[in-house]
Amino acid sequence: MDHTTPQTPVTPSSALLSSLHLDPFLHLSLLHLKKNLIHSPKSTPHTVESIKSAMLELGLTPKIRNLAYSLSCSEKDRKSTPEILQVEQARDDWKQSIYDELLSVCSERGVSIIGPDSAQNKKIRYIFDSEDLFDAIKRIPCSSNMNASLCHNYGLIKLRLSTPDHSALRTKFSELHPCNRQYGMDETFLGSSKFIQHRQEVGVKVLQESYVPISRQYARYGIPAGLRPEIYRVCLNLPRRIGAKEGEYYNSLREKAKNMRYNVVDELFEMDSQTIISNSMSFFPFLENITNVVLAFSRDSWVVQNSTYTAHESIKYEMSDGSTTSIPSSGVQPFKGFVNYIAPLSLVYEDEERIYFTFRGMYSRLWCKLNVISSDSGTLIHLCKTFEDLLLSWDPALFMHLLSVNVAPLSIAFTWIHLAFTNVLETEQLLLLWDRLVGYDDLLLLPVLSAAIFTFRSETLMCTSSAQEVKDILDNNSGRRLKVMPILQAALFGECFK
Amino acid sequence: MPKHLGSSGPIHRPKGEGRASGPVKFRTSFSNTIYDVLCAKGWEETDSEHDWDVHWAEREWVFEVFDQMHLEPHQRLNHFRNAKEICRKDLLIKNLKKRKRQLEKEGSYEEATQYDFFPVTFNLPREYALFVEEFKRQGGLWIMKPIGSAQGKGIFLFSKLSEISEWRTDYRYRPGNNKQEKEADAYVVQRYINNPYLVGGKKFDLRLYVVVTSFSPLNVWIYRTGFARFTNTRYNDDVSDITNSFMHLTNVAIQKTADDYDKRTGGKWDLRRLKLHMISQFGAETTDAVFWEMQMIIIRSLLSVSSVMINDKHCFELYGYDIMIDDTLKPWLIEVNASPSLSASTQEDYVMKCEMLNDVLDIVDVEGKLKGDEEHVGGFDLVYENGFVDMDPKHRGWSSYLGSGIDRGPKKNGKGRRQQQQQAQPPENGGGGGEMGEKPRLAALDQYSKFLQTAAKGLK
Repeated sequence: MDHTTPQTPVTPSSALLSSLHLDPFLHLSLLHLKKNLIHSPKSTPHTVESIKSAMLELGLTPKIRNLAYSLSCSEKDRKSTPEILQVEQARDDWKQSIYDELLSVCSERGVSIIGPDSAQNKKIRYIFDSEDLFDAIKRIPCSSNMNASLCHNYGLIKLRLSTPDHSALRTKFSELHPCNRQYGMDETFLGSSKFIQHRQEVGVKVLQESYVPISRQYARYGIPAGLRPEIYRVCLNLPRRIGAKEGEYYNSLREKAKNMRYNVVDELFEMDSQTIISNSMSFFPFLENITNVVLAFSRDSWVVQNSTYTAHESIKYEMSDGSTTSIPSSGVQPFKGFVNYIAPLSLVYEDEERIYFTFRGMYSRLWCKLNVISSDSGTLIHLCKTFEDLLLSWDPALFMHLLSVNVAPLSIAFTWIHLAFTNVLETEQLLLLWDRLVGYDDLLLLPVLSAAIFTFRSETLMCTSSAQEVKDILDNNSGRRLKVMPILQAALFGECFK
Repeated sequence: MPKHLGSSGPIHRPKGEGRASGPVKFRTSFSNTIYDVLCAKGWEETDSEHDWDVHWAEREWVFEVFDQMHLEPHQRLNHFRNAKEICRKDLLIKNLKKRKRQLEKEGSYEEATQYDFFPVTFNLPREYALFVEEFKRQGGLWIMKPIGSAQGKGIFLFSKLSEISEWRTDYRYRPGNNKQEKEADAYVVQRYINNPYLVGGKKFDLRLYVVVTSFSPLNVWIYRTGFARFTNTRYNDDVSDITNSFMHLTNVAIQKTADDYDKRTGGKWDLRRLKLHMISQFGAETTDAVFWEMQMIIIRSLLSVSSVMINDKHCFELYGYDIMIDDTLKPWLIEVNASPSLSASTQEDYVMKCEMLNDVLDIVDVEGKLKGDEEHVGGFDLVYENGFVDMDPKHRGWSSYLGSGIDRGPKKNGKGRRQQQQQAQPPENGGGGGEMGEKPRLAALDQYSKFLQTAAKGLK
């Protein structure tokens, strides 16, 4: 799934045009264009040039260009391999179990999913968390039509999925090679002011272009803190600056959240926010902002319509007027740790609206893949398998040693991958990692970094004699001092930089 | 800034001379972080009136006893005799205004205009008439602060003159049992900063730590980090809300009584986190300018009092500076504390204060371990030594060390549970310890250790 070079759109122009009509701004602009330039009584035969310049003036060009690019990408995103039966089954079971759990919590509290809540102060429990998801994945058996002995491997993921090998990774992530100057490494060295200045100037030019593939390419080398807010937006195919329409849309979501409360679901989101954010040294000033964002998110049906994957199942509720509503409208059920995906953005953006749209974009392109049970490459199971295969190939002795002390490496790395390292790295480093996730539009660096951390700690880990010792070395607090780029570079390009 | 007249070059203080050999003897009546730090250094506590090497005293002791005492050359005390010149709100204002006038008289008009970092202030009751004149001219929101108060006690806001004519008779504001009874009525009234820079919609103020080892010539060490202390509720500048003390007064002591005060976080950011946040909001250049301004507030305020302070080679002092930033990103000096709180509200707080206090004692250097030409001790940087000290070339691009990371090298005792478990059996490869113990696999990983050191100094 290499998007480094922009492709000419392969979709027929009708598909493009119909997509254009879906965007109200473009639609109106094109109508305006038609009326005033093409069909105006005073018009003379217009050359392509004048139409082009009119489009540029109206701000249409970047929008259409990005739209065409994203359409061409989505062609590639479409699944080409059929789903594995076991995985499909597991996915359905998982969705069902969440659904049932949610309803059972509702009935425990004696409330319906919407409506007056009489059980105000009753303690509430999460309906699921990372561990539950991990269990659901671990349970997936190997395909039944394969010879049992062939299924034996050392990892927890029994499915036979093909994962990228070391040389494929080196090619894919060639931008991260130490010979390239980048953020996370080079800005800290002596004499780096020239590099920083250069990076800043290039970034400003990139933003002027506002073209998705160029912004993504830029992001792969790490983004200076001042440019990150806008670059992220462009990479996610949003206009670099937020507009009035987006603001209104966000406010309408907040209104929906205020006017009609989801029992249990809202409480769980709020509890998640309260527990994680108030206790966070970095994010506690933004507790209200983050809570508002997560509640607004749950009201946004855009999410379920535009996410690459639908992770969970919404509850269909019949309203008093006969219409049905999905709860939550986003199709994303609350689980422990969900707000971790939002929190780092509170340090990037000052205001809720911008946090919201970037978060929504990141969820629909990236985080949904971490929460769906699917055998597609680039999604959670595949990422987990990639981690296990990588660690086994990079450091088989370590892998075996860990198994011998009853620690499956994936059992530690799973939350790192599932929560995109939000619970491990300190924020500056986390954002440098996320720059690359956004730049590559891909989550493959999550298992790569996980395996790299294990190999980085290899010598200490080899000395352990119990599972507890392993957990202590790799516990999340020790991650606070990790620097992402040196570790990634050493792992990917180590041994004298092949 | 012209250098002061007087001796130039590093200050040579009697290092350890006259001190009896053996462990350093300390005296203190504090039982919190400073006590832990003094003990952790392996120093011995003593109750003796005279036979101590370091005395971390309360200010009352200094007022009562110091004048009658004769100190040996090696003895060190943590207060200057008349620190009130900088710590009492009325005297600080007086000294700042005096310095400004002096600069104007000398013809240094540009420098004099820089002394605009304190909000319009009047001493009451002496300047009451002047205050009323200003109030009638500009109105606005004002804050009344009792001179001897700490931890936010007795402070209140008002926007109408009628509110303060009731103040003297209102029982709530009667000062408590204060030794300085005759000054108990004295207040300062100051224009309130009603447009603070907000983070997450919340107001905060900054606490910075400064060590002065000498006032004449002036030697100033500034700690790289500090705290941003947040209020728990969203800021609202509606004047009718001013009775909500919790929102406006950020002193930790008051915050702790709020219902939703969170014990775990203590509502603080360390200075570095704030700096990174500001960089991502405003860019590096603007942020650098703000931090530079804050450093200059510290230096200028100390310059203002350096001529009236009774210098004493036995004395050093740790000040807690309270600074607020408004929404134009201008920093304001709120007050200076000669006895900044040394209690810790969270684990992180405890560690930070202990590290800082340990560094203070290293600067004071009763054991004579320093060479005397150091510009960095622990997390402190020598910013002013009878003149500005040049920035380290490694920090090129930044005007001040404030808010940058502190490089303390590998943690010596960070091995935790794993170490304890391994104590029964020695590790197989003879010392494969902690995070810094791994042998680098590649030449590139050597860079990693260097990276940790340079990266710890902050975004570059």
